[in-house]
Amino acid sequence: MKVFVVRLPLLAAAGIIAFAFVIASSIAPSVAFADCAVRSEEAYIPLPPPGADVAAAYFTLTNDCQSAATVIGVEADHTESSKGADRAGTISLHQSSTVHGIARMMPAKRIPLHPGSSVAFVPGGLHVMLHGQELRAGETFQFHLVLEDGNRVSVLADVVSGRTSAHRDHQNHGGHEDHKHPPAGDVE
Amino acid sequence: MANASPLPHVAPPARAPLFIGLALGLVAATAVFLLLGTRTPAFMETSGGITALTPPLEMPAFSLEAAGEPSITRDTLMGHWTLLSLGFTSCPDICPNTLALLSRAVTQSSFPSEDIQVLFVSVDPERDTPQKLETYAKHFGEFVAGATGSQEQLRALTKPLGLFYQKDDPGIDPSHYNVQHSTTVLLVGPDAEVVALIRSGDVEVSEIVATLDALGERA
Repeated sequence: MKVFVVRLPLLAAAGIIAFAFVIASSIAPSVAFADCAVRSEEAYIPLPPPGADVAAAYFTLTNDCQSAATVIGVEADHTESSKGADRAGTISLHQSSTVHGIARMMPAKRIPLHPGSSVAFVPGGLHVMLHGQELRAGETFQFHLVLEDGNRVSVLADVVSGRTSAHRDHQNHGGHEDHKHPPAGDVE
Repeated sequence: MANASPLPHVAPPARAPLFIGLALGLVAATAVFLLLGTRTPAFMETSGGITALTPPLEMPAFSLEAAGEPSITRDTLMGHWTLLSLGFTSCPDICPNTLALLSRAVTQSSFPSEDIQVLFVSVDPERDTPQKLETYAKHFGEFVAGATGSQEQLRALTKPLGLFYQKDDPGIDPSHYNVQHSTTVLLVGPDAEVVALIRSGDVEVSEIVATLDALGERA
């Protein structure tokens, strides 16, 4: 019965730790949600060439929260004040990839944002695709990312003339190969 | 289970990992040697995102339509340098970024831009007309031109060069579809021969600039 003598304190310790976890996890989310957010930074849309009815928005999405979030969709901004959104156009989440030298593009249905991490929407990777939207250099275009929990993340993107944009020179060194900007591996 | 392993049996396994490690190391080294040896043919010299072809690869006979000029053929590539890129104008991400990359490289290079043309070949003739391509291409610079042709005309160019394109199934709206395509850009010399392959997604602007500068010095 020596075994029991050794194991009982261990069991007790494990129990205490487990209890502490339960308490901690029930308190932590309320603290985390109080002053955290999923936010976008450096959003820009290269002005598409004349004749092209498609464009891509690039930005960095950061989840400051201690809980995971998942982007499940995107909506154009349909408020009265918004100049950019054209109701006839469409907006969707896409992921480009180049595999064995061949470019493909797939809809991105779920983009997980791990706690405290960032996901980069970059040329050749994840992007918000705008179809049939009227865009002018120097203006902004607003859209909203839809999170699984029902929250929205507003993104205000600068429409930039590609050939003079500092964004572009900064972003496009190395362009769009999948392994240079690894897309979040768990995007579906 | 601890009692089942008497001490004398513990010592020999401790030495085994050393032999296994050495054996695995040897196998790995051999594998790497063989793979590198077979994967990189002697006539290709790769540096960063650019692969030089020695000897160069002759362009096949082809004919494409461009706005406001006679057909673009193997013969019309003669006498100047060409950066040839496949794509389509309904491509939101990769195609315009590739053209911007090539345009920036030509602009930054000391190579005279009148002696080089960026040729954007649309693999989506259903939606891209020569006129539409012309307007699209000029957005990236005076030295950028667009061309396309029937599926037959396009395949006469792409197939012999090992370039690939394929239309994806459209979604609900039949006018919305993507076209998969090779992202490799061909650097074609004044003798209509492919002298280098540029992996557009895997290359720095500076690498293309350096290549063009070197061509300019040689000329």
